[in-house]
Amino acid sequence: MKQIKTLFTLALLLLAAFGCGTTDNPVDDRDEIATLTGALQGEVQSIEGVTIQVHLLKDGQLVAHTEAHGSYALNEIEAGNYTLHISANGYQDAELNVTVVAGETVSLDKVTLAALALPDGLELGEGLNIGSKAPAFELPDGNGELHALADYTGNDKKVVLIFYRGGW
Amino acid sequence: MQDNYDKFKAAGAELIAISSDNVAGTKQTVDKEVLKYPVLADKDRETIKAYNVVDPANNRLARASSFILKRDGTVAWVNLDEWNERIPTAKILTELGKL
Repeated sequence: MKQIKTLFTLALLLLAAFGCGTTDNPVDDRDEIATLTGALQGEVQSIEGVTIQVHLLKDGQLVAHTEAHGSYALNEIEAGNYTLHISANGYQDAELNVTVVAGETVSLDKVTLAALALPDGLELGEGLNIGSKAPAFELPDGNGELHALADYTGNDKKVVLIFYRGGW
Repeated sequence: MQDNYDKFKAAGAELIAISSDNVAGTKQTVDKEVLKYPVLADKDRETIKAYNVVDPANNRLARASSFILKRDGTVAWVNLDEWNERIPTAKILTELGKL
């Protein structure tokens, strides 16, 4: 009885397999995935001791992430338009608009990150020198309303500026 | 920091806070803490870079730090917080008093 059941199951499986093969379903699932995704590759200068982060964003949301060691690659990315954000500690960020093409590997131009200009005698993250001019800024608050430093210093007031780490 | 806002006002100073949060994240912080002073969103970290307070360990965050700017817009005093240890407000008020 058990043997018959096994044979029956086998027959069903065979039928299913051949059934799929003979129907006129034009797209095999694997082909479909391959045609909907593509890949990106590119190059950034190597900086000794510095990790270079590569973030792929769509509408501001992180889609993929990798580190660049000279070269970088992002695979199996859904076709479409993205922003590629390249950042490294002590360097200016670079941003590229990229298009991922289905079934293709898009090669991007080499990116060279520019070092941040640091104040005389100070290392990265050590703030500014006493007596130097405070850099102007204009930034939004939580309601999107813009505040410029000049709105406050122009008020004939001293300004206490607090930088905090913020959320992760 | 909220209770201290009035003390800064009394000392003739405006208080402004900045982080690398986006506008929505900044709103959350402000609503949660019910803050009266401006809390600003430097999502692209342009100001954080300009003040050279990018966290050396994580370039997406600001290093906790405080600056006192004089009326003429120059930097009068800088403090870089130690890891997880915020500078006491009394210390900033003392420095303000010296100017």
